[in-house]
Amino acid sequence: MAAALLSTFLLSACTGPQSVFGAAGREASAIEDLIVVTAVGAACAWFIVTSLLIYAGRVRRHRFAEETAQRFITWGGVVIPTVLLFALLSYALWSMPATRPWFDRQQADLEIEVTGEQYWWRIRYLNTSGDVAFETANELKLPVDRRIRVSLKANDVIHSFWIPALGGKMDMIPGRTNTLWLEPTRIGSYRGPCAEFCGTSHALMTLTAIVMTMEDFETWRQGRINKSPTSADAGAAFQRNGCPACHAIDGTDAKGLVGPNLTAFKDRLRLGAAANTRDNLFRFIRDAGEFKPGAQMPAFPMIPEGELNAIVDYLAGET
Amino acid sequence: MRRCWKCLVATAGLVPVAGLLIAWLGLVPVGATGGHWAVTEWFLHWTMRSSVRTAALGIEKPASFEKEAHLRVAAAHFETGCAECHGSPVERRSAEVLAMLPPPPDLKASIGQWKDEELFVIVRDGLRYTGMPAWPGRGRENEVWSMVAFLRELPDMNAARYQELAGGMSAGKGSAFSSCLSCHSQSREDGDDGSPVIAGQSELYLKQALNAYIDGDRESGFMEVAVSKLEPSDIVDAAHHFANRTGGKLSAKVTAPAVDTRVLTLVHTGDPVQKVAGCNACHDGRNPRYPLLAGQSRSYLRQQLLLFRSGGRKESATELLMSQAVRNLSNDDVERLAAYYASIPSTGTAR
Repeated sequence: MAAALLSTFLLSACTGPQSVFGAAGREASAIEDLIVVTAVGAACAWFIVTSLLIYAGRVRRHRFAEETAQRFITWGGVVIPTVLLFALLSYALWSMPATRPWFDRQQADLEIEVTGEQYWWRIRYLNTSGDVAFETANELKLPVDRRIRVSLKANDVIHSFWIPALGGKMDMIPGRTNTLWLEPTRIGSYRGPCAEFCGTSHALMTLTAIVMTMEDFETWRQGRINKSPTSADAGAAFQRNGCPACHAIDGTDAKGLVGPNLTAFKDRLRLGAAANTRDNLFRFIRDAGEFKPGAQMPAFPMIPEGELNAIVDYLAGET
Repeated sequence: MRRCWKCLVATAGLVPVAGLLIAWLGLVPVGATGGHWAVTEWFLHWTMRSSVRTAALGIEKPASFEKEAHLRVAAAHFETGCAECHGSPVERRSAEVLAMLPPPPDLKASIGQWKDEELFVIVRDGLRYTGMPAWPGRGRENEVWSMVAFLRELPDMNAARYQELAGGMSAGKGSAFSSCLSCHSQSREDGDDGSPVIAGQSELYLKQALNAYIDGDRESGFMEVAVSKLEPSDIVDAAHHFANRTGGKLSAKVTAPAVDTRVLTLVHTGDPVQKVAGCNACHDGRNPRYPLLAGQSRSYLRQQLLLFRSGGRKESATELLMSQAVRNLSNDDVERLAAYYASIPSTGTAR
């Protein structure tokens, strides 16, 4: 009881979109349970040992008979700790499959490929045959209560994928593919940092996972797959100034793969490291390094202001 | 003894004062008549040779600079910038040039005394206290190596070969920009000899480029010398002329277009792994501020890509953009892209 109260008290500050104690996924729940059980078990051991110490040193003034002392040491020093620690170890071993779930590929309800890039996340949704259905960046939309297979890759340096509320962390290593299974259990928006130092803007490399109902997810996914072509005029300034060299917008001629895919840009909550506002977007295109030092995107001081405003208008309206 | 020391100190102090006095009184002759004293002449030349020899120690000669040299461009440049003082197979030097001190050497005789690296140092850095200027395009060592390759051939060159290389000399008296034609004539553009195809580029781009050379925002010894005498109105005329001339016919010479999946990736989508941006987003002619690449000279493309990749062109924001876009390009990809763009027909859509 006391331990439960203690843990409640300690953990009350540990909620929010980026916390292992606000588990919203199968793997994260298993990890959270493991932490709580281990912490409670350790707290019990500490409580018992400390109580006995106080009892022996302060409360009881007389010596124990030798036989009593012997029995006391045997039970209190050997049997009880062994049982307690064995119980904790058993629990930890038992929960191992749940803390890093593993299934066959056929058991996946959805397959996603996430690639770490300096300093953003390339997200590709795969279709049932394993080909790329569409691509997006920095915002991972997931259906609730579905088993999702996430392939983790990197092109430049080592990154690490970690959404504390859902699962991970797992490294993204150039030249190999790691697999992580996620199963969100609660609708909401969760935040993930890059968990391996990857360069000057490592701390600004964040990922938002948005867990939605299967219906909402399916609507969104179909919308992305059947993206209707935007009229060519709307994106003229975007096309003319070379943006498609690195950026793609589905349904248009912009097919660049080097930088983030900008389809449905209006829906993005964040722009690199700042809020997705018109003003920030304008400044980001002028000099991305202002927001993300060391960003791969070059500065564009040469785009005339009118043209740049047209690009901002276009992206801000891109749904 | 003590007095003697004082004398020495006084003398040491007085010598520079006396020297300044002589200079102030104007007793040092600076006229070029009659040349130097033999000992001065020997000392100056000895110092110059030693300095060039030492500077050349740090120069690494590109393995195949003679093969990659743009001899025609170098010859045209020699005709514009060098022949007046050093003579050429078709032109003897005038009396006033020979009256310079030191007189510029007749290269036919003197080139053989220098090693390639030493020639490189002289062409790139010039020679102080002589009329020999430094190379106007800073960082454009590939141009200097082209000059060295040309100079190596010069002593044995007959007039016909020289004229064929330098090209267009008779055309130099027409309109203000007709001197451009010694490198940028229709036949030259078809020859893939290192000068870019400028016919069919947008007027805006051509003006930008010419002004960048004039303002020192774009480095090239060849071009800076070529444009230095153009008036603003000449630039407008030249840009108009070349923008409206039909593009070169390089593509007609290429038997098979150099297309493979790799090059199409680089051209259309870029390579997300190597982080190479897709070329056509800027170079498809949609934006008149960027050059068209279709039908461009292969050797020129290769040279410029290598220059951008090594950071040799990053003066303006667009040049920085280019060096960023191609910084991870492999040698193979450079060759592929140069071959690809040289092999597709110039569309001439940029206006």
